[in-house]
Amino acid sequence: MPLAFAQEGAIVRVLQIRAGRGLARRLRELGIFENQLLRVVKSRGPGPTIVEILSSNANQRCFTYTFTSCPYRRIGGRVLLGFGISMKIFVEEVRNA
Amino acid sequence: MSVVNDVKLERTKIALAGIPNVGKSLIFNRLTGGRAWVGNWPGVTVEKKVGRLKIKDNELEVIDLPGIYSLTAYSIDELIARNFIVEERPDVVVCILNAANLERSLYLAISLLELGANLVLDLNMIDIAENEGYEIDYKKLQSTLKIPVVPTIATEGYGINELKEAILSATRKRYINIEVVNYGIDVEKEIKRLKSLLNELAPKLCQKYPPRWVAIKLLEGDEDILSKVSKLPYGSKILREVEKSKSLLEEKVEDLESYITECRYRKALEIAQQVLRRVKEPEVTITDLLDFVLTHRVLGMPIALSIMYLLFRFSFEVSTPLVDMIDISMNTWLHDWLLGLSILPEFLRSFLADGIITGIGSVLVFLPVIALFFLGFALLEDVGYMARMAFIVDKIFHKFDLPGKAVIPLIIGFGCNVPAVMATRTIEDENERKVAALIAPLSSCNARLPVYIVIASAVLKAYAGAAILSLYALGILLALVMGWFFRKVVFKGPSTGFILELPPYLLPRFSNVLLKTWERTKRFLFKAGTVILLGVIVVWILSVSGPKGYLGPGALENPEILEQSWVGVLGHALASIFAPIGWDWRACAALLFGFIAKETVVGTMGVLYGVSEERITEAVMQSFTSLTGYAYMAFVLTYVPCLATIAMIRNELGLKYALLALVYEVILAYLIALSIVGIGHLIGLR
Repeated sequence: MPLAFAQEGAIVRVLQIRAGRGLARRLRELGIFENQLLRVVKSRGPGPTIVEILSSNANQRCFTYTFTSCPYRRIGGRVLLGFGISMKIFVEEVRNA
Repeated sequence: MSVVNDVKLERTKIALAGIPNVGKSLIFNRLTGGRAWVGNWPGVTVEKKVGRLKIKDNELEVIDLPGIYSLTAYSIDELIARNFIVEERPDVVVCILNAANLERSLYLAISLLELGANLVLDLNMIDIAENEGYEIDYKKLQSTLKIPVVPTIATEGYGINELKEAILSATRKRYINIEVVNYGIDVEKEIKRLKSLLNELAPKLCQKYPPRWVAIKLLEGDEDILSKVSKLPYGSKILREVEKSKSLLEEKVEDLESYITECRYRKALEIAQQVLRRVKEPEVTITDLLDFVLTHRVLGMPIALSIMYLLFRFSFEVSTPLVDMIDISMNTWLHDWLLGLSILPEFLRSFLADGIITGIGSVLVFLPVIALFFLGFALLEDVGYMARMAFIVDKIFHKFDLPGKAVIPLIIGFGCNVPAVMATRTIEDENERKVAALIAPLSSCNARLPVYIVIASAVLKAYAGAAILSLYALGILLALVMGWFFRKVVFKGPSTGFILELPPYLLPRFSNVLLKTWERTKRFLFKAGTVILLGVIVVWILSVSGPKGYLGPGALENPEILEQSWVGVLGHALASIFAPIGWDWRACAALLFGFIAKETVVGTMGVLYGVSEERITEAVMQSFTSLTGYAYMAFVLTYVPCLATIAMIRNELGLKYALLALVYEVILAYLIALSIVGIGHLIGLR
């Protein structure tokens, strides 16, 4: 499903980025590429999405804003993706909200 | 003096690079003691800034670049930074890493190393990383990358001296590590093949850039490098070989371009894993909690509106005593004292008192309001709230085919339209950027506020506050509608969507907030002192002279003489155009001078009605009804903000677009004012 449809609070894995060269490269440089784990911080379908990029190092733990622990560490700050872009990133849910 | 400068022309150049929100501008200030614009949202450093760094007896030139993620350019901002690093080859590049966002910062550092930059790493914001429960083994980072790493906390000035030392030593010993990423046997083989081909066929290019970097960029399909190579004598031969390598490699890795980016990113991840150590469980961060509420689905919008409302209330309420003070001292004491100076000839007394003091005074009384608005605005900006506004409004903006990022220039526009036009540079898509720049002037800047205050308080009384607020809303509405219109008619094309990194919420840094407040207020004062002063002088001269020659200062006291002046003639000519709306000739003449800057409208009214600030209210009450007054304010909102803004649009987009902005705004303003009066009459308002 497109990232735009992912539930708030869910952790998703990126399956495919269906975007032009420029945009795909830009997303990669932000750390959004195939197999990467993302946490959906905010989702406003149809509207923008805020994601956090996670590292899948299971030894490290972090807390999400919903106060539940998850086995992923977040990498850096948050990224706001416009609706158009969120529709071009295809993801699968790894952990639901 | 110029001779001395010529000798020192070849100063050692130090460039500061880093991802957005890493505190580059703050480091720049710490290094140079200079004044760079420091902001907590992406793209605030819209131009390259230069300062001097003195270490011991050495004077180095420091250049602050806009934030970039990599050396591939998408927006003008990124192009500025890339071109500087790639083409001007600074002697030392200081790459500032965000310790709390290490992987992404390392990606940029790795890209810079591949380019062969002489690199010093500044590991900034280590305090924030520690709050999140991490420790970074910077010595290990240093030995892994083979370049110096200095940990700093720019907000507190920690580690700055060490950073200066490291920069100085880097000017003597070069720290280079071009082969930082290994792309795997197959790709490496092709890189090697292309490298020797380049060395042979393009020796000049290889002198300027490291051949390995050129080879990688060619495989990545970097447009800039491709076009450079194609212009070389053996260019087409090299490009043929590149194509050969590409098709060979694409059998092994699916998409070569993304494979290369991914290799680089994996390297960054790998290094980060090695040097990061968890020391304690992280707490729920303030950013988590605040974002939960401030970007909430339901609460986000009302909170944003309340914050904006509070900002305006704050600037009006707190400034009241200061406004009164300035008003009394300028418009009463100074004005009367000058008029009473019998040593001076009569016309000079009138020029100073009625021209300069009345004009400048009526602008200066708004200084406290504007300074306080900027103060509150700088606080919100520094805390990191403004970037969240982009998220909150994106859904609405999307309906008008505009990117959410376009809200940033519109919000800056509330302060001043000139930096608002500049702020559109962070928008990647060229069409979207042009539209954002063309609609930015519709955001009601502080310069229009004096006009609203005078007219609204005179004709709308108790409803003045609501009326002014409605004008701000009208400005945004017009900006959205015009944006949509331009997107549909002139700048068609699909919306590319936008990407914006949200900075963590930070406590405001007091000096930073004050600095930004001062920088912006200074512009207003400068404008008051130059453009407005000039405008007021022109108004005075045109008021005391006419087609029949010099009329004398009596014109300013006697409306009948004033009608004979140039101002009277021009005003009457305009009044016939505006007859359907019903403004008197003085109001029309003031609009004419408003082309210079909106502040002059009040100043001009002061001169034309021959009264001071206090009594303008009475004069306005006599010549406007509530309806024509409101239409007048809407016109002032919409038509050309000031000459400076038009000049800025010309700088950014070219003369054609500056003229387009000028023409569409005047036409739109006329139509809006006309429809307000028309609809008002229909529903029986006066």
